[in-house]
Amino acid sequence: MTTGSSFLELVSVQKSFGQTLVVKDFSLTVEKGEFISFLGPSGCGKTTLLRMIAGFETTSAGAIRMAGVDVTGKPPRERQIGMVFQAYALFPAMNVFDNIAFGLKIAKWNRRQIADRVAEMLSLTQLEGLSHRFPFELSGGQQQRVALARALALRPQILLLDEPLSALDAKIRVSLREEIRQLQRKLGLTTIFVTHDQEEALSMSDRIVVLDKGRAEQIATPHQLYNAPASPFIAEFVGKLNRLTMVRGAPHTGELDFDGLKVTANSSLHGGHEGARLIFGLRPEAIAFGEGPAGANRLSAIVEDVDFLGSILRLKLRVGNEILFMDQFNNRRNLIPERQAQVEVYFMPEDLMLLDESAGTA
Amino acid sequence: MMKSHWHKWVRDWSGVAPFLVFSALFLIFPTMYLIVGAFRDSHDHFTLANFLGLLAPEITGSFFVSLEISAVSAILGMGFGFALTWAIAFGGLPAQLRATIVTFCGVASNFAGIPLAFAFLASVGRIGFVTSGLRHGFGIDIYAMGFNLLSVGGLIMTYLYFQIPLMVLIFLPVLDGIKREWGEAAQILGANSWQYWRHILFPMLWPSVIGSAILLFANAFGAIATAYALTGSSVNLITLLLYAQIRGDVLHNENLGFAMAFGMIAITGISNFCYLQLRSRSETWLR
Repeated sequence: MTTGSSFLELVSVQKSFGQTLVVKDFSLTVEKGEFISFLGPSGCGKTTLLRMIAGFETTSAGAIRMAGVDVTGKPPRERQIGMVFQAYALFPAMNVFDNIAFGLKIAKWNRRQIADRVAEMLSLTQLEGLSHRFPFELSGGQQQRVALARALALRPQILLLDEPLSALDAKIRVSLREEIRQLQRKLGLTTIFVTHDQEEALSMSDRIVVLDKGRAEQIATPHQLYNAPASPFIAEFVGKLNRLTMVRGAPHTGELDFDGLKVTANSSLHGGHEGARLIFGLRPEAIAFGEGPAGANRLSAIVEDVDFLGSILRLKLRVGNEILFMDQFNNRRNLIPERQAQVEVYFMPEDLMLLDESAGTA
Repeated sequence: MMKSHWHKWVRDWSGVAPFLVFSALFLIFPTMYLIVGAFRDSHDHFTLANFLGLLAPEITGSFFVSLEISAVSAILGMGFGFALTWAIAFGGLPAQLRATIVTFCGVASNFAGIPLAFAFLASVGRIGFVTSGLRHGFGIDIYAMGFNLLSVGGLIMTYLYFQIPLMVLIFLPVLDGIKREWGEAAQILGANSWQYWRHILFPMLWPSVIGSAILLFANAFGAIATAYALTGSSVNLITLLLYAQIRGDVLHNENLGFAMAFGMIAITGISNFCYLQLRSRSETWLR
């Protein structure tokens, strides 16, 4: 949900630890009420960026503005931020009520106001009846809800979530991420979410910032990121991808040689030098059984293996000397191919994503 | 089936059996023996006279001296030990220095008795090298200033040699359990350092601090070898008096000795009970 006004701005932010530059010239504008995810592999700088926004890390260069106010040098307590940590970080000697009330007590609210706000937060996070329990008496999911309630109690301007779901088991992770998203929408809260789990980022975010080696590789909606990745790194990092090496045929036709088979690419990929070796990406779900519509690239393949992933069947196909992965929705009516069976599959030219044009010549 | 069950039983218990036998022979049976003995006279008749005997000024005095030395050495050990542990845990010291200090504490906490007494006599005794060095090098005569190693104060100082390292060993795991995120969560919720200490760390740490101090107290209360080696009988400790009672060189009333030991067991037992209660409370929070 966005309202169109820039609320959080990171302007050419940099961070170095000694000689190592861990965040490089990072700029981002976040609108009020927007849910942004920082996604990237371990060590890409996403947590460092979040900690700079929180004020736990100083910036080596650049500026951070919140609601138009420069907060670059301000301590965390003056930034009006709520934060949820990966390991909950609940105060162990305090019960649920006191954990949620902590920030309110520090802000010197009176008893009545504190009790009302804590009750509101308990209701919002579905923790009614647990206010007298201590953190060690709660499950991981409940603890993370308390952490969320504590972070929201002071009505922060921005909510920072530092991999809040990674310590939870798979089922709770999915239900809690839906709850967090609903809450965020309900409160219209500007939120930054750090994760290394692309499924979480894709399902929850308005926009995703993919980071690699301290640099923003792409800032885009989940749909754009998955379907139009800006770089080979993103194409391979987000979702599963087949890497296909092909040799360019007649440039004006867009014809390609894939291990002796003729395939065609989208017209936007026409041109270039004949004989050039190109690396393409192809999503497993872009491959389907059958002959497909006119213009489809048709391949004859041998089924090497079938992985049953619940809602999805992942088939490992051999096409000549190349291996392709193909995803198919699991459906009772679909026949599951036998191993070593020969199958006919197809994909559309527009599903080929050019990853690398500089792979040499054949 | 029966045979395999029997084999499993033997395998499960064989490891712990020597310990159980050892505990029974040298802890449980002697304790029972002295408890029973505390209620008997020299003719093996039931009596409470031994406990009335504990009220003799000499015995109550020795209990008080022991309690005083134990309490003061425990409080000082807790204070200095806490500061040292904090410096080790959060002082940003090189990892190698931390490992060295912890290893030293492991050795020092068990360094007691005649070697410890000799070490202190050799350094801060009347002709010890530190005493002489201060006298000749700086013109400072610590004995002329009132210091006496063979006194209650001297004994407390000597006890600190093993009390402070023991505090470090007990308390370091507690401080290692403090998570950086607690401080950060408190900061982002508006707390300053004092408020973080006051509302979060203090309620969490006090059971461990007090529990550790109680353990140091029990540790000092039961000590005898260091005191005996250092002061002989010039400091009236309950352990030294008990030793005299049981050995029977001068005073010989074995059953009174049993009653004194009973009193000591009660004090150390209560101390250990309190320590375990406080520790389990703290561990519940920190797990």
